[in-house]
Amino acid sequence: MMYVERRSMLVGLMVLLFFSFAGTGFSQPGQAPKEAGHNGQMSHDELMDQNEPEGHMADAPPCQPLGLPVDVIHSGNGFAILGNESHTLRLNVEALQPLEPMYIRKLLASNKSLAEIRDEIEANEGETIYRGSIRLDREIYPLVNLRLETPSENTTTLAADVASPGMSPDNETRIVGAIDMTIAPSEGGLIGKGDLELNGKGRYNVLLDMQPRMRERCKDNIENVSVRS
Amino acid sequence: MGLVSKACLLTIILLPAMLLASLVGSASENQSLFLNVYVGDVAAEKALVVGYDDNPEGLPFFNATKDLYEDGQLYAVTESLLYRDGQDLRLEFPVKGYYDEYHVVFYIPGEIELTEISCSQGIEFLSSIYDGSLVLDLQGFDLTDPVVSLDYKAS
Repeated sequence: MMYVERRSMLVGLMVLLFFSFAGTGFSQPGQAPKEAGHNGQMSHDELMDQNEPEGHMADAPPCQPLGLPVDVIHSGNGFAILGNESHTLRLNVEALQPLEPMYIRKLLASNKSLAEIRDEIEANEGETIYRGSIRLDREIYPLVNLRLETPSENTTTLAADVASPGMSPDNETRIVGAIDMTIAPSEGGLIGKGDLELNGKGRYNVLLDMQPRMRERCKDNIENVSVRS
Repeated sequence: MGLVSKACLLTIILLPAMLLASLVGSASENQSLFLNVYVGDVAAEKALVVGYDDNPEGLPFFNATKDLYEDGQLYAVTESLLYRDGQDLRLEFPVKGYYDEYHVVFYIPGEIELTEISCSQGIEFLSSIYDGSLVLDLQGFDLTDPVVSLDYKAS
């Protein structure tokens, strides 16, 4: 048993070293990574000249809820394992205040000061809604029908359908899979574990290192800066 | 090896790697940006930017004396994103720095005709129509100095 543990730790360290020095950019088979150009930094003109935007135009309602971002409640990065394949996986879930764009635009057109606009927006709380997405390797998938539950104080369960990266030709949201995971404290951190099922690909085991909520993180950063100065 | 043992082994292997990756991440001060940009009426040529950003100094339009920033939450009104040439309008949204996560949603009043979208490599966009607005949802991960530029006409 000791041997197995030692061997596992050794393999773990090798993986760790590999990720530390080689980066985490595993490509999906058959999907070539795009060139970043000058060490990932490109001038504005170069960016504009060389890149064709990837996206989809549709005269259709949005597939995800819209609203004003009030916090990023879950943000994690790690891996999705399918058999012997390891894929990088990112996840984020934003909390949104469901405010209509027309309402915000009216506030902008009013003679109110920025502080008054903020106060009015904050007074209009409404029921928080959630929007999320995952990135598997280099493909971003919106999450729809997102369900969050807290079965115990420090544990959250997250379940959602996974939509296709673009829109279908008929402008309908196409569900291509589902994600189901539990986020709970582990070894001094916060770990997300579960399954990601993608149609035509299979069921991945998911393991994510989760970050604190963005509001807490920013507060900590500001406090740390104040302490240093 | 049983399924449970395999899962345990995977956890043993990947957990330290992820913890180190997160330590490396915090050491390099990775940043996230989640903003909504509400473009005002065509005549007004101003926009309200609201949301979360770890580092507002990366936003060229941010004015620390005029704009509001508290615990990561930003409220800013700016006229520096919009350019007009007759009927042609351009919205440029450049950001400086490295961003782990980047999610910007533009709400543009519906009475316009979008002629071109340009954005940095790695940003994906999705457009939709909602509540009299053209909604452009742009998202990316691991981006350096991301730039988005929208050209449109008042119709």
